[in-house]
Amino acid sequence: MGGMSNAVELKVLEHLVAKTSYTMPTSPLYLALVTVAVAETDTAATITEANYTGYARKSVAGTDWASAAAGAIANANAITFAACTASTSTVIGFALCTSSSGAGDIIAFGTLASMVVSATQTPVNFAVGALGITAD
Amino acid sequence: MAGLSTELRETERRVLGNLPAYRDDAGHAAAIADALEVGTITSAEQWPTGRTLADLTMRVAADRHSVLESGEDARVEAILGDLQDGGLVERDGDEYRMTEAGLAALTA
Repeated sequence: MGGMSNAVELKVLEHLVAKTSYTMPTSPLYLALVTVAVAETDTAATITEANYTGYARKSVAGTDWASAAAGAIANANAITFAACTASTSTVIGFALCTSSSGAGDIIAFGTLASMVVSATQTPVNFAVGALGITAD
Repeated sequence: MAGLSTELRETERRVLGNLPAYRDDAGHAAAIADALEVGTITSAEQWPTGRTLADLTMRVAADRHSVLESGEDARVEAILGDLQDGGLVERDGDEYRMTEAGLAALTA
């Protein structure tokens, strides 16, 4: 599964039909890594995030994205999380949140190939173009 | 299923990981309150605590990183049976729910 949270979907729909303006989120947004798949009912406070030592949501500015094309938008700059210094997490998805921690909207979410994050590995990194959000 | 809690296979992780996360009563209430405030649900009854086999199969199949495909209800049900045997999932009527041990397995 992937997409936007229910709340964001409704805001976008109301914006598209000129009913209520959707205020553009303040840059940066924050990318979260999750160990339980995100659902459309989730908020930035209800997701189950990685808990390895050193984990924190990674800021992603508007300028870190390429122009949308062919029904998708992807990162134009690499996104690298802080290194894991102890313990491990098996990450299976992501959520793009409006807050660096706790409460907020989930702008987009999706799944990832399972990835065990540990202190012996290089930090989690999304290469240019690796994080894509589609609107088809 | 000995060792399941620490050695989830990929298909088990994808099935278990697509169930709503386990929450204790206080966590459940807090999640509902937050979801209502943010607007991802409009009533407490909309907050999911489990998923039916059909819903879960659809979600796992839609996960492009899962090896399971739509129509594989029987396979998902078999995996859920293994997870139930390991204490990571429990069944409540038509719904499957993640247990505290299930959450621990995913977050370990």
